[in-house]
Amino acid sequence: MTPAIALAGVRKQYDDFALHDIDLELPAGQVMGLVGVNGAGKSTLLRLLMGLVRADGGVVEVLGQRLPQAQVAVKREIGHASDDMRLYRGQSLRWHMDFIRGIYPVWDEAYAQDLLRRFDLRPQQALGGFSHGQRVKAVLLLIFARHPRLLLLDEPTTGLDPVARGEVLDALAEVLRDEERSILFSSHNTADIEQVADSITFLHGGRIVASGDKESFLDRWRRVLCRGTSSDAVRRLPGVASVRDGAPLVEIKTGAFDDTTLPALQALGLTVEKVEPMSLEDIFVTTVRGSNNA
Amino acid sequence: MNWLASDAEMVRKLIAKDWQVYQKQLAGYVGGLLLALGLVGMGTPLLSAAGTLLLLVLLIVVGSYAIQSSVMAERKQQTQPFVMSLPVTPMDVFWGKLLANLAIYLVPFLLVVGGLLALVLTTARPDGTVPWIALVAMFLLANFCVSLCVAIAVDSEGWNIFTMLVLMTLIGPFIYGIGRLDSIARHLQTDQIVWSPAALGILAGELAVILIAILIAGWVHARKPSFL
Amino acid sequence: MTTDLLLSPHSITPMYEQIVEQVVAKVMAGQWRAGDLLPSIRELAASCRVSVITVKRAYLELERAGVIVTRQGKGSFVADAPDAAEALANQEFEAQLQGLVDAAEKLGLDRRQVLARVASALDGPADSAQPTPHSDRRKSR
Repeated sequence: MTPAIALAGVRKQYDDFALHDIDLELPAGQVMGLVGVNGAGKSTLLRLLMGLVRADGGVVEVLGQRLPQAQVAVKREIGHASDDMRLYRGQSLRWHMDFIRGIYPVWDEAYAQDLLRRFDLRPQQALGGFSHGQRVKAVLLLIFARHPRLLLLDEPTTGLDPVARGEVLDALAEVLRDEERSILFSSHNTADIEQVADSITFLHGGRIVASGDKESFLDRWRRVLCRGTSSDAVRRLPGVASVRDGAPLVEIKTGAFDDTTLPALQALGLTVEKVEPMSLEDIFVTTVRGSNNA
Repeated sequence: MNWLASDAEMVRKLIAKDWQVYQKQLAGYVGGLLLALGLVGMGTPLLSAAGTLLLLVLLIVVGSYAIQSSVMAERKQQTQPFVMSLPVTPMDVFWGKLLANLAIYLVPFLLVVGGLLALVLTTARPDGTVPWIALVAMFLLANFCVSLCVAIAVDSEGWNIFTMLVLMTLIGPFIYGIGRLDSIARHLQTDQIVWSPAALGILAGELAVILIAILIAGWVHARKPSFL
Repeated sequence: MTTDLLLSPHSITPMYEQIVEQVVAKVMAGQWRAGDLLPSIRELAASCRVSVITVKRAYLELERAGVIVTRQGKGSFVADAPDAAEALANQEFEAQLQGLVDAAEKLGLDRRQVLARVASALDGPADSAQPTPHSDRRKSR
């Protein structure tokens, strides 16, 4: 099956920011989580995928079609929601639903009613009176109800209360049932990505720092608590991202954990006390701090 | 990029969308314009002049309001990303905005011009003013079109407002200017409708300005590397 | 067959391990019997709100341990191997046991102390939840 997304050598230059050498692939039926600090390029990447921005170089292919040339055909099958997207303040949610329904014949009214109930939204209320969370849910409803083949979501759960966040994740998870539908979403709620994503892509400073399937990504990272003293040799071990001294203990975080890691630490005079997996949030912060110090 | 809209159906939907969103405000202005027309028709020269002035002002305001709320507000209120997420090309959006705003403007515009022409032709007022009315009306329309085209093509609120203000200041001198044109002034008090070469030339010029503005705006819009 | 696995994203245990544990629990409790069809990977992913890849990994582990069998195009079934689930549970027990030994070493407990603590733990959770110095003194010699 053609991949949902295929980027090759993509770059984009702005005055004070640039995206470099983006190579990315999202196979159909998968969920990819995009992680990165504000300004790392996540929104730019999503806009490139929507055909809203023309790349300066490289190839952008979505659902097998080139962008921005085929943007109309592609946008028929994509759902895009972003932080800066607003609806018409003077119009009701029902008006928006009818507007979208008139454009997309695949609109599922029954499912839309179900989502109205679950998201607790009032269709007759004008959008101007919606809270931030309600607005986000309204935009997502307009997308979910037409069952797009690919969802490109920029921070879909950011700023939502925990209950609303759960509802959105539920709706996202329902997309998983169909092996022809894919999702790419960026989120600061790394827990969401950790839970629902099949692969993770890490953007930093306009470049892809890491990209791969979630399970093996999380498997490579460990937090090791040892007894002993740290040394430069420990810091220089491949994959070590952070070393913290808290005598008599030393905490080491490594992104290249394998069978050789513990013996290597022991060879450097450390006694291993505890080995723990790291949360995606911890990995994210550790990586960013590490690259900032480099 | 393709010049024409990729999907006439989608453009139609976009126009309908703009129409629905700005309906209510438009109704208010139309009411005001009808009132002004009424004043003009009242007969006494003072009321007539006051009515005409009011008509002029309202037509200008309606025009700039339509541009403001439809094009500039869409940018400020950030509904652009929503529109661009629909299956449309940027040129579809361009034609949608252009045609929607023209339609929104033409309603009060044709009302006023038609009403004025009807008043002049059916009452005792000198019919010679018809060319004058036509030229001023077309000037206002050209004004509106240029403002609209600049608003769609240029993403800066500052430049849009600047353009609108500059164009507005040209109205007074224009009206004064053509009032002094011999071929027009001569017939203002008569019942003869005379289309002198000068008048026709100005009319053609106004139409040309509209066409050129649309073409340039379309070209600029088509070449934008990003649409947000 | 109900697909109500009770997973928590907040647990220390990785999600795929939770799935493995709970499937094992269902098999050992007789809820899921030999030959029963397991929910499809996508179904389970959607209903439990976890990624497909996580479920795939769990199913892979279960298959490797012999708890389930996957037939191409037909799905995954509970294996006709009553010991497989138990074997996995045993693995878990051995891991916990090793953890106990390591922790005891850190505390400097001798063999008798460890056995005594284990005995009281087996007697009842209420008694041994907080070992007081008093009981320690009694047990040591």
